[in-house]
Amino acid sequence: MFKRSRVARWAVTGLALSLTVLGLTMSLSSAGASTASKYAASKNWTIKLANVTTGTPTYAYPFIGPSDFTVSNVSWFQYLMYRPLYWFGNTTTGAVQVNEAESLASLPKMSNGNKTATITLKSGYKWSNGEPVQANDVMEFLNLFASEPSGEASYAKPVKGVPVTIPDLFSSVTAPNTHTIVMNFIRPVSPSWLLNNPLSEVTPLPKSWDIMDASWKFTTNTAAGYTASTVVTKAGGNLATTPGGCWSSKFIGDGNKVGPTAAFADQNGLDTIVPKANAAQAEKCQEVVATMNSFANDVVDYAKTTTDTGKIWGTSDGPWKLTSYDSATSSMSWGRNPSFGGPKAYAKALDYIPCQSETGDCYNLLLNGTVSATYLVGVPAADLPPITSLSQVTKSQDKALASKYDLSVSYEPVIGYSPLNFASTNTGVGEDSAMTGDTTPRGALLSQPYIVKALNDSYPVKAIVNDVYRGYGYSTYGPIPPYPPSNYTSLKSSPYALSKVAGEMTPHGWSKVNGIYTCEKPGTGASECGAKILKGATMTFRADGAVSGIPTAQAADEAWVSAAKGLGINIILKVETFDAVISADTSASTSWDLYTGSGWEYAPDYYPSGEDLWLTGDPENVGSYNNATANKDIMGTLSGSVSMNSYENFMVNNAPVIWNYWNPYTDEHLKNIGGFVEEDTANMNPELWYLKG
Amino acid sequence: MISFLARRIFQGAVVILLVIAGTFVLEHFVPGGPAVVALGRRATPANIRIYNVQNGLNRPLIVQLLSYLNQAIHLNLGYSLIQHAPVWYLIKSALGHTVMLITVALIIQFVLAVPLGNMQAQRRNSHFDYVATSVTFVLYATPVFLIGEFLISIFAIKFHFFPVTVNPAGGAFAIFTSPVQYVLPVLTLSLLGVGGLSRYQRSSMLDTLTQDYIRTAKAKGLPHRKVINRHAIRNSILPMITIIGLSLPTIVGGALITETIFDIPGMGLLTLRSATNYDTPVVVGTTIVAAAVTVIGSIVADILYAMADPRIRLGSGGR
Repeated sequence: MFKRSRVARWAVTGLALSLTVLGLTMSLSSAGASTASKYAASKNWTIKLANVTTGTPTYAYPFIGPSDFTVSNVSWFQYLMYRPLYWFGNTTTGAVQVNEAESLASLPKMSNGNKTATITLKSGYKWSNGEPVQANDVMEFLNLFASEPSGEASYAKPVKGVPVTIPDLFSSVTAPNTHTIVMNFIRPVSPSWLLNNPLSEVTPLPKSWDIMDASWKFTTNTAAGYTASTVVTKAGGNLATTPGGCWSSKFIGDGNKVGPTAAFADQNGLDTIVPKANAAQAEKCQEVVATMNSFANDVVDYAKTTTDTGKIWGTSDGPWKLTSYDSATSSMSWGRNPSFGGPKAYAKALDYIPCQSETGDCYNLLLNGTVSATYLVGVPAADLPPITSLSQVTKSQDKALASKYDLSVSYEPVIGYSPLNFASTNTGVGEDSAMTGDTTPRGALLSQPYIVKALNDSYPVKAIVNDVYRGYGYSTYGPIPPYPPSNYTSLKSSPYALSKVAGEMTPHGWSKVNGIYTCEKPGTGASECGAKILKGATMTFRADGAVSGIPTAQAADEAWVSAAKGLGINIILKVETFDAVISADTSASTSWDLYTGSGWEYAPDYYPSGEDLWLTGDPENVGSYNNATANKDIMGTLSGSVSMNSYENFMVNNAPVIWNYWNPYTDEHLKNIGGFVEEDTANMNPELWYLKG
Repeated sequence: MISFLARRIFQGAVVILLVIAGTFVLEHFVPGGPAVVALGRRATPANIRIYNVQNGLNRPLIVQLLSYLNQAIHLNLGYSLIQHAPVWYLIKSALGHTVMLITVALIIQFVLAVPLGNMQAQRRNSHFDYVATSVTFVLYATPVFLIGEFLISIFAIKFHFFPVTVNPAGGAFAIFTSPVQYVLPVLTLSLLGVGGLSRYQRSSMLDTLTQDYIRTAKAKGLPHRKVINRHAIRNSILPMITIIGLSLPTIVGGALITETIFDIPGMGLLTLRSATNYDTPVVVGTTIVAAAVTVIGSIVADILYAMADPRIRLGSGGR
C-alpha cells in the first residue's frame, strides 16, 4: 500500500466493459496463432519500451526497503528477473487478481481455523544457475524479514502491542520438504488478506544471495541488550564470504516473542520476533541484508558478469536476464532467460529506451514509431480529446498515433483523498492572516462527524473531473477504489453532494456570517455546535496543497476552494511541494488542518484493508484518526470476521479524510503486437507479447 | 603575463565557488523534492521521511552546503541520489559525448560561418548579401529547440531519414562510428552559431578590407585572390578567437538543449535530468565542471589571442 503523490501521474481511463472487450479481442487473436508461429514471428524481435529517465530502476534486491520501494524498481525491473511467490494480474484482462498459472506456488491451503497456511511450490521453476526454486528460498526471505522487519517495505508495526502483519503474526514457519512451507499464525487470518497483502510481497531468494561480507564490522549495542548492525553504505561487496545461514529450512522468528519478550532489534531499533536462542543467526541475516544492499547500490556493475555484483544479479528465476545496464544513460536491456520455468519469452530481447519528457522526446519516439509500447511512460493527456463519460476513453485515441498504435486503458487500485488532522490546535485565521477572534482549535471542529461530512459535501468532484481533467477522472468516495471493479466494494455512488452542506451545518447551530458558517449555538446538545466549539467559531481551515508543479492538481484545489467558499466554508490554500507537505504534516504535528494532492495505491498489497491507513497509533494514520469501530472493523477484515462491505460502509460515512478523485491511465502499443495487456496492477508480462505473423 | 594569468585564475576560482553556492541554494527552491522523485508513484510519507534522513536532506541548507563544499575541496563530488552512482562516474560518462558534440559542431560552425561572412563582405550590398543576411538573422533569432524540433519533424518523423534520438549505448565516439544518428543534433547545434559567427566575420572582414595594408597590397598589384587569402582573411579571423571563447557558454547551453532534444547522454542531458529529478549532488557536480570548462575556455582564448597578436602580449607585459 502506497501513498500516491499526484506527481508523475500520467494519462487516463477505461471502463470494465471496455477492458473486457479488449481482453476478449486479445484472447481471440491470441487463440488464432499457434505458439510455434508466435515464436517464429518474434524470434528476432526486440521489444522497445520508452522509459522516462525519472523512473530509472536503481535497486535490484527483492528484499526491498521503503526508500526503494517504487513501481519502477519492483514491477518494471525486479519482476522481470526475480519472480514473486505469487503473481498478480490477469494476463488476458489486466484485472487485479492472483494469477495462479503464472505463480511459483499453488494458492495457499488454509486449515486449523485459518491459523495455518500450507504453500506448495510448483516443480519446474529454477534459478539460472540450475538450482530449483525451493522452500528454503522462501525461508531465506522470511528469515531476513524476521531479523530486519523495518527493512521490508510492506511491514506494519504492531499497534499497541497487537501484531498487524507478518512476520509478527507468525507463531512458526516450517519447511517439511523442499517444496512445502507451512505457516502458523498466532490468530486466524483472512485468506484473501493473507494472499493479497503479506504473501504478495514475498519473493524467493536464491542460496547464492545468502552471503555476508566478513570485512564489515558491526557494532554491538550492549546497553539495550541488543546486537544492532551498522548500516553499510559502500557499494559492491566481496563474494569471498561465509553463508549467512538465512537460507535454511529453519525459521528463526517466533510471533509469541513479539515486543518486550523479543531478544533482538533490527537496524532501525524496532523490536523483532527473534528469540534469544536465534539472536546470533539473526545478526548474520542482518549482515546479509547489508551485504546485498551494497550490491544493490552498485548499479554501475549490475550487468557486468565479470564483477561480483554482476554475478549476483545474474542469478535469475524470471523470464528475462539483464544483459546491459547503464545508469549514466538510463538505457538497459534484457535477453530471454532460457531457464525460466514459465512461458519463455517470444521476443529475443527487451530494451528500455530512455527519454526525458512525455510530451517531448518520448512523444517523438511514438510519432516516429521507434518504440513498441509506452507501458512505462503513458500518453500525454493533453493530446487526447475531452470526453463526457469514461466509456469514451477507449475511443479517444491520439489522431497522430492512430495509424501505428492501439490505445489501451487501465485503472490502478488507487483512492485520492485529503487527510484531516483531528489533533489540529490551529485556531481560525482569516484570509489576510489576521486573527479573527475564532479561538476554537480546528481539531475540535473536525472531531464532529457532521463537520467532516459537510467538508466532504463541499468537494466539487464532478466539476473537477469534467472541467479540470476534461472527463478523465472519477470520484473515489470511500476506502475501496471504485476502479478497477472488484468484489470488495458494494457502493455505486458517493453519498456526498454540494447541496447537502447546509443540511449538515444549520441543524447544528451554525449560520452564515459574512458568507461563512459561524457557530451561533455552542454546546453539546443535538442542535448545538458540539464539544469544545466556542461561539463565533468559523468554518475556516488551512489546506496545505501538495500540488506545487502540478497545474491540474492545483486547479482542482482551487476549484474546491471556490466551491466551498460559495457554500460557506473558508478553505485557505497554501501550495507547497508534496515532499514539503508530507514531511511537515505528520501525526506528530498539531499545526496543520488538512492537506491535498495525495492518494493511496493498494498495490502490491491488493486487499484494500486499512491497516496501514487509519488504525489508531499507526504511523501512516497521519491525522490521528481514532475510532474504536474503525479499529475493530479493520482488524476484523484482516482476520475475516468483518466483511469488506461492512468496513467500507462505516468508513464512507465516518470519513477519516475528504474523499477526492483519481484518474485512469492510457498506453499505446504497436498494432502488430499480440498478447499485449495493460495490467491494472502496473506489473507487466512482456514475455507474453509477440509479433503478429 | 604571469600576473595576468594568476589574476584570471583567481577570478575563475571565485566564479566557480559562487556558481556552486548559487546552484546548491537554487536547487532547494525548485518545486517537488528528491524523495518524491526517487520514490516515485508509491512514495509514502514515512518512506519520504526515512529517505530525507538517510540522505541528509533534513539538515539545514547551510549545513548541507558547507558539507558539500568540504567534500568538493577533497575532489569528492558525492553520490547521485537518483541514479545510485558516483557523481564523477556519471560526469565522466557524459563529458566525452558533450566534448565531441561541441567540437564537431564548432568546427562545422567555423567552416560554414567564416567563408559565408567573407563572401558577404566581398559582395557587400549585393543580392547574395541580402539573402544571406536574412537567413543568418533568422537562424540567429531562432531558439535552438525550435531548430531541433523542426529538423526532427521533417527529417525524422516525416521522411524517416534519421532517427529521432541517439542510441546512448554508442559511446562518445559514436559521432564518428555511426554518424547518421548525429546528423540532426550536430546540424542543430551548428546552425545555432552560424548566424552570429558569420555576422561577426562579415563585420571583421569589412573592417579589414578598409585597412591601409590591404590598400597597399592592392596598389602593389597583388591579385585580388592573394590579397584576400594572404592578408584579409588571416587578419579578419583574429577576433573570432575571442568571439568563440566568449561564446562557449552559449554553445554549452545550446548543447544542453540539443542533448535533451536528441537524448544524447552528455553533460547537458545529465544536468537537466538531475535538475528535474532534484538530484542535487549531480547538478552541482555538473555545474562545477561546466563552470570550470567555461572559465578555462575563456582563459585559453585570452592566451591564444595574446599569442596570435603580439600587441596583446606587449600590453599585458607592460602592466
